[in-house]
Formats: sequence, structure tokens, C-alpha cells
Amino acid sequence: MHEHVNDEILSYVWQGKMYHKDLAGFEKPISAGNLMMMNAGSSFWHEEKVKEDSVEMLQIFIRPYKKELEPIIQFHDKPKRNKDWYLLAGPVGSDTPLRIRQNVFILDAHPRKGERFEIPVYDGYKPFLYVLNGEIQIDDIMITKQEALTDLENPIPPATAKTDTTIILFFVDMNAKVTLAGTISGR
Amino acid sequence: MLQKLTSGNHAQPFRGPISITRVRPSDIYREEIADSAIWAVKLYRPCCIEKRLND
Repeated sequence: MHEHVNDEILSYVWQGKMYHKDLAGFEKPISAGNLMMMNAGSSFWHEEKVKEDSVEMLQIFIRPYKKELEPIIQFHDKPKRNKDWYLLAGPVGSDTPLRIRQNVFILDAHPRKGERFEIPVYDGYKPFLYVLNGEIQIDDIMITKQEALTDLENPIPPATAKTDTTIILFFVDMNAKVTLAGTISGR
Repeated sequence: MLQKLTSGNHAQPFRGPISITRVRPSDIYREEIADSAIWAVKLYRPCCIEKRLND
């Protein structure tokens, strides 16, 4: 097992299956639709194992507002192929299935080829859109797998899926207090 | 103004048991800043994990 400290970590698997095991006693397979949020706080030990095939996943590291918080592990099962935006995670106190000790909201969507979709607006937050798989077009800009897009002054215009796509959308409070004490996020 | 971060902006600093591509969200600013995060969101790791244990 290995330790994480002061990182808020969302594991988002979209292909394959990863097996999680931790010192808190949880042992759980994580695959598409199963989300894991590890709020490492003062210390959290775990291991990841891949038993069959390979796994494609995104690990999102978020700086908490403060170091040495309580260690927490959260799991949430969501629809696998939601066409519309699905709110995965948000700050403590928000109405979201997974909670982050930071002013960040995380959403996902799986628009199909040819579908046009709106990008929501969160007042006071900056958007950051990341394409995990597939390709979308916004205005005359094509954004493909592992590419991202933001607009720091204006809302992001509507997008069109050029293929079946998986997208993650972040909203970030650029004025939030953060700690740089995270093992990964603090680097 | 819309700003795009291409896959060419990715770094790959980790050579351990997991193959990791690290994305530097701050590259989207197109300016010299030391911090590689968009404030609280530090980085993403689109990674392909082969059959193994990351212990």
C-alpha cells in the first residue's frame, strides 16, 4: 500500500476494472460508473490492482482548503452513459453525491455523435472542460481526446459531439484558499 | 477568449508501475507561471494501467 496526504483524489475509470483496497477496511472494484473520492487528509493508505486487461482512468488531484483534515473515503455509483451533465462532486455543504474540501465542482457527460449540448455556468467559478474520449467542436475549435478548453472571461459556448464522447467539466473558484501540503497536489 | 490545451502540452514525469500522462492545466494561460494547476485543481492523470499492483 502507499500513502496519500492532503490530497482530494477523484478516481474516474471509463474502461476496465481497478481493484481498490485500503487500511480503512474497504475493498472494492472500480469500473465505469463507479466513482471513488479519497479525501486523504492527514493520511490515507491504499493500493490499486488491475487483475484483468488494462484500465483507462483519470485521477483528479484537488488541493484541499486546509491540511491535516480527517481522512475520508467515498464511493458513488452513477449512470454510465448519461447524455446530460451529471454533477459528481462539489464542495462540502453542496448537494452533490461526492464531497470535496474545496470550492470545485466536477461534472461529466457522454454526448453521442451529432448531439449539440450546452455548457453550464457556475457564477463565480471558472470552467475547465476536458475530453477523455472522442471529439467535440466548440465554435471552430476541435477538441479531441486528452485535450482541454477554458474561457476565463466568458461562458463556454455550446458544443457539438463529432463522435460519441466522454467529457469532464470542472468549475474552479480561483479565489479559494488552498493548502500546498498535498503529496501530489502540492507539487 | 476560448483557450485550448492540446495533448502536446502534457508532461510525463512518472515512470513507475503506472504509465501516467500528466496534464498541466496552467499551460492554458500561455504564460510563464511556476504553478502547474488551475488553482485548486492540480493535475489530471489519464493513465492506462496494465495488469499489475500499484502497492
